[in-house]
Amino acid sequence: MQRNLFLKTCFFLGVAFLYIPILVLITFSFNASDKVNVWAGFSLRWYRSLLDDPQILEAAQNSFVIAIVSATLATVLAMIASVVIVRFGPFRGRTLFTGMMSAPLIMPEVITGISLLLLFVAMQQLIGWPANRGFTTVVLAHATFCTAFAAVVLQARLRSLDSSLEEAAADLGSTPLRAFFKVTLPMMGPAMTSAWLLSFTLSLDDLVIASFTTGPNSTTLPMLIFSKVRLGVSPDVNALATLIIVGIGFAVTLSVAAARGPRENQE
Amino acid sequence: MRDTTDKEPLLQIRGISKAFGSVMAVDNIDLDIREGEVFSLLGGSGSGKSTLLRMLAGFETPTSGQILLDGKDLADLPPHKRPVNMMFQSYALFPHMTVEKNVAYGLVEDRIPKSEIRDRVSEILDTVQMSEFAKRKPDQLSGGQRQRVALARSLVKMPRLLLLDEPLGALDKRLRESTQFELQRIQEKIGITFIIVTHDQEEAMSLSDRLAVMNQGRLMQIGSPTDVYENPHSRFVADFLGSCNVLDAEVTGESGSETRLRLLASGAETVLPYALDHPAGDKIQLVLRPEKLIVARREIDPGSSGTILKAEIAEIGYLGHRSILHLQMDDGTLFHAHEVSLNRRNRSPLQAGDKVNVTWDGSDVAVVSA
Repeated sequence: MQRNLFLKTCFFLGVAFLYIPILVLITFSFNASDKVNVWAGFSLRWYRSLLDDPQILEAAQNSFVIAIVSATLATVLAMIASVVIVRFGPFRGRTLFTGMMSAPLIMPEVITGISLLLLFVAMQQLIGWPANRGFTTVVLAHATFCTAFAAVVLQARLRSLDSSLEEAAADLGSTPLRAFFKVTLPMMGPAMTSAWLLSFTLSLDDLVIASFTTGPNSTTLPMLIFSKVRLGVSPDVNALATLIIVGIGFAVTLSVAAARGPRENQE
Repeated sequence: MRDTTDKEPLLQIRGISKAFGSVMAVDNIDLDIREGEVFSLLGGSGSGKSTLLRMLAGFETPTSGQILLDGKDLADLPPHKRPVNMMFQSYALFPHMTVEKNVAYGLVEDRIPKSEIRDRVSEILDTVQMSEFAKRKPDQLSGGQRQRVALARSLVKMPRLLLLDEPLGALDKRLRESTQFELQRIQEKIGITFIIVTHDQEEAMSLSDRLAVMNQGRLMQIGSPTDVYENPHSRFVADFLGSCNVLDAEVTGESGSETRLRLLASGAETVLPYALDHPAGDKIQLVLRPEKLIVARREIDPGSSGTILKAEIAEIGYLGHRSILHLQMDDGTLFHAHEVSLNRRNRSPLQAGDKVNVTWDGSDVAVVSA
């Protein structure tokens, strides 16, 4: 009984530690006062001022488009890489390739950001593309590190997929490419949704890499928030952050549901 | 059983080997399969039977040797171009497709006209009695039903050769027996040549026209089920196909069409009603199936073997249709014998502790080299 109480206390302290800051933030986003830390009654004025701010709306749009494009790119690349790693049998350099696939997972973001910036600058000087930094470079950078995360999800699923299904397709007359599109891909659907949503969230969330690789007119939402906070915390950032939390919470829930879906169907 | 001996072999396997690293999974196998025959590859795990099957399907490339189907070399054909289909042990039904779509898959890939696909699919589903489940998904079917769908899917393309990997392995014992006869019925109706891989000797013996026992990548013996069971060439084959008693013996002499032997354990004399190409003094092993032993409490006539051994019943395992007797022989060895339960009320059934006489017919003894 006492042990039970101890466990419960630990649990609540842990959860409180994690979520009280977020609750405070959400609460104060509905604050009527101009001061960030003084409660003066319920109001939606910061949400209204958010909608009236063209800078924020533009940054939000940038972030969403970048997230959608880079998540799609990352999922396709990760799928190809996973098929190579899991299904092509042992080939020269497979261990190296597998390791390099997952290296961005542990690489500090600052280093990823700097190295990509150097690459883009060098490319611009050598081949003239990308002409300037902005939307394209951020998408490429995000696709690069999201691919590593997506590949983890997809590799795990592909490994658990019975390879005799693909053999059966081949046995019944499918070329390897047709077997991939008719059998492997449909069965990978939920995992791909999951990988896409994960990449989407990571891209939407990223500040460091975007700061290194973006240019004028391509400010993302996290960058905007960061620069606003540097000039002193304004309550409309609370409102923005609340919206982002809700959005990401939704995406994560969807992703979990997508990953769990097929397993429940099997039972 | 059909007589298929006069036909040209459909499949010729010539000196085929497969090495995984330094391990020879399949070691220089030669084998002919005749058209219309049901052939079983029987062996334990790691015997190479599945590797051999996968080489026929094209999923493994032989290290050396040739596979000829209708006289044509299959070496350069990838799996999707071989006129061979396979029924997988796990069935490998596509979970995102209905039964109908699963069965039609191979025909769609062959670009057969739609109306013909519909006819052929409904005909084969009829044959395996799965018509009413056509719109179901595989996860809505029982194990036995999935097995039928997998069979239908591999048969619908009318392959020259059907490979079955442990076709009954995933079914429970009761379902297995009925499915066995079902499989035979379908094979006879369609007439496609079957190659079955199995580790279950009863399955192999009841299904096949011929079977091969495999061990460590080699074929130990090929023949009809009766032939392999009654005349095993080696101790391994004898042990693998059912239980057996093995007696060490020494050849003592030969007269005409008889061979005289001395059993090493008891020193008793015994006679085989046929000549052996072993000179006197050679050590050989005799294989006696448990059901061939005659066990009785009373005095019995020795069979043509001329041998009676004394024993005590150590234990009796009652299985209903028969009992397994564990016999402690007076010479110290252990024998197994089967007693069939012929009468419902046996007046004087054998009991543990009974002193008994054991004999057998000389012609029931198989000889393997020691």
